[in-house]
Amino acid sequence: MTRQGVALGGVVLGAGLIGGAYALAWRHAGAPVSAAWLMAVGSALLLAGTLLLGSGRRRAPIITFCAGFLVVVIVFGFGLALLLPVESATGPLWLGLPRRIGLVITLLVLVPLLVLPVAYARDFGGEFPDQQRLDRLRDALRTAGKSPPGRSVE
Amino acid sequence: MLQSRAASVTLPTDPVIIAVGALYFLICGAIALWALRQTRSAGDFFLAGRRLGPWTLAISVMATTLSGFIFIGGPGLLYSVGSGALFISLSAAITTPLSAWVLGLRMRLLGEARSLLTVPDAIRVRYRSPRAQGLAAVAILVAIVGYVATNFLALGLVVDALFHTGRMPGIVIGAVAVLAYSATGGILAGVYTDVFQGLVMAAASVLVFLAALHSGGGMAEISRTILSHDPGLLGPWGSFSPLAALSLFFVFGLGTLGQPHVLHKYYMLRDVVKFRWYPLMMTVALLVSLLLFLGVGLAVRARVLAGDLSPLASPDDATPTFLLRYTSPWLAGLVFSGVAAAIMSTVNSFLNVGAAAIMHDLPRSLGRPVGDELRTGRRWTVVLAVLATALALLSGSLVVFLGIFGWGLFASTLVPSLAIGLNWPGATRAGAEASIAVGLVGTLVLESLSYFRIYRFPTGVSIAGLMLVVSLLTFVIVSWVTGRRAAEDLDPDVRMIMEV
Repeated sequence: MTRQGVALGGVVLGAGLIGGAYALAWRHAGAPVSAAWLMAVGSALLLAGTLLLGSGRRRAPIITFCAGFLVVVIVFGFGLALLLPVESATGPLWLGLPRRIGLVITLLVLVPLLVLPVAYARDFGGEFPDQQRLDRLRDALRTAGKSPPGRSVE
Repeated sequence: MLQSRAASVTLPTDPVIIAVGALYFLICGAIALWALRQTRSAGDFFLAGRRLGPWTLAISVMATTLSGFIFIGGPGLLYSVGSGALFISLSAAITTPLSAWVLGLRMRLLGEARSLLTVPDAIRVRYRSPRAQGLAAVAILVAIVGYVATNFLALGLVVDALFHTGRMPGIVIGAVAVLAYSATGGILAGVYTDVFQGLVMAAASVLVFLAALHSGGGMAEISRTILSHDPGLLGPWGSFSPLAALSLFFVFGLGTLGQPHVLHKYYMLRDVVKFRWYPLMMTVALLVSLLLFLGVGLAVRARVLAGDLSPLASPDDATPTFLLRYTSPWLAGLVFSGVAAAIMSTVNSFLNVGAAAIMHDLPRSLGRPVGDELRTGRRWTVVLAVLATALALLSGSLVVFLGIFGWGLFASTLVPSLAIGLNWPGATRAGAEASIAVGLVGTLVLESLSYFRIYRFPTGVSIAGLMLVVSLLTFVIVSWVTGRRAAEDLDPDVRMIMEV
């Protein structure tokens, strides 16, 4: 399967899992815990699949890493919140907050803040290290803009 | 949300608060006057002349993204439902890099290569479909009128709270203030007032967060106080169900990729190479401005549970109550100026995007482009603002209804055709048109059923999330069915940009 196929598969599977999570909420007894798991895994796959699609035709190992990273932090972060026991008033705190919400903020906000923008800058710098590269792309775009639809631009 | 629950927001008549608020409006006016002299073309009016630096872009997008909700409604929601409220902004560190990778550079290059003015322009060029452009413009207009009216109502409350004008005059004064720079300087005035407004918001947020920590003896002490009285509030979902909280994460995480007032700003960056550090700048600015949301909501809840404060009459009283009790008048004035800033920057962008949809997207989708886009754009900005002000003044409950579904409508109509379609050559014109139509009609129907209590959706089901999923699947399935030669039908320059 191509890289784009995997990405699109992630988008479709993620959307399907989220749809399944909502469908479970219509049960007479209300949404079970499995609906929350479906929503967490579905959101992770959908966001990661969308990100992977964004790599265009490049190999872009940084984007592949970030897509995998997104799946791990989202599933792991929300999974911990679903699995860890309820805190007591005297239990340990994390960032000054009860452990579960502290871990969610760490994994979903602080760790991505340290990883994703820096990864974007590295990926961008690799693709457009200087103005000349960009100018060449602009020239190619001007030429391509004069070509009829359906013509390859390579 | 701010409008619907903020009726009890009041501040005492304090000359310091009034002076800080008046100074804020004066500075906005001075920036608008400067921008008016710089606005000479439709490109200046709608795209700020494509001359923004990365910091200007980042702070402007941050100010546009955050409405007054983050200062009033957000802390109120955290006060009332606990940690679950945080899921609205939990994806903040993920969405900006994601949006930059998936849309930022592509929209910027496409805008330059094809001289695009609006977000629906990108849809027309990608799919060679004026119909898809027209449908997207209709969806944007439907969402914007309600959104702007809701924000005018909220702005009226803030003006009233600052200057004690009364609610109705407050709405008119607020609307006139925004219109003054939106109709004259367009997005150019908007962007530079955004920068000032964004700095006010960030400064207010940091100072109030520190005051909140100080008032409760630090975050750990605040948590201990809440845990000893109501531990469920600081569970990961607060008083939401896990599905409801996670649904918020999904809707705000992916839905951000379809907000036209944010995407539109990608066209405005001057130097594409400088885009490299935009996600870092924007994410830091966004998270700094969210600190008030976290600090005030928890600190006030802890003080109420500890008996230092009486229970609030309305959750939206959390921020004003905290400011009056625990901060100085000048900081209260700065925060309320920050609320006005957040509302005004959002409204300016919406008016600009809405006017462009009327004078540019709809005529082009019908094959009748208008001549003088600058003059026509100014006229439609005034018309939209007057319409939204009239709605805000005359029709309270209808405005609340219209304001509720704006975010979801943008997401369900624009995310598939832009975030997926600009990256997937197999996407087709039929897929785009079908998903925009399904998102538009489906969101309107389901939100109406829910708002008028004709049908009650189960706990945890978000209509915005549900319609985003339906619209996405419609887009992919219709594209698969109709897309045998989709990639071959792409214009060469569009294909080249999609492959970057």
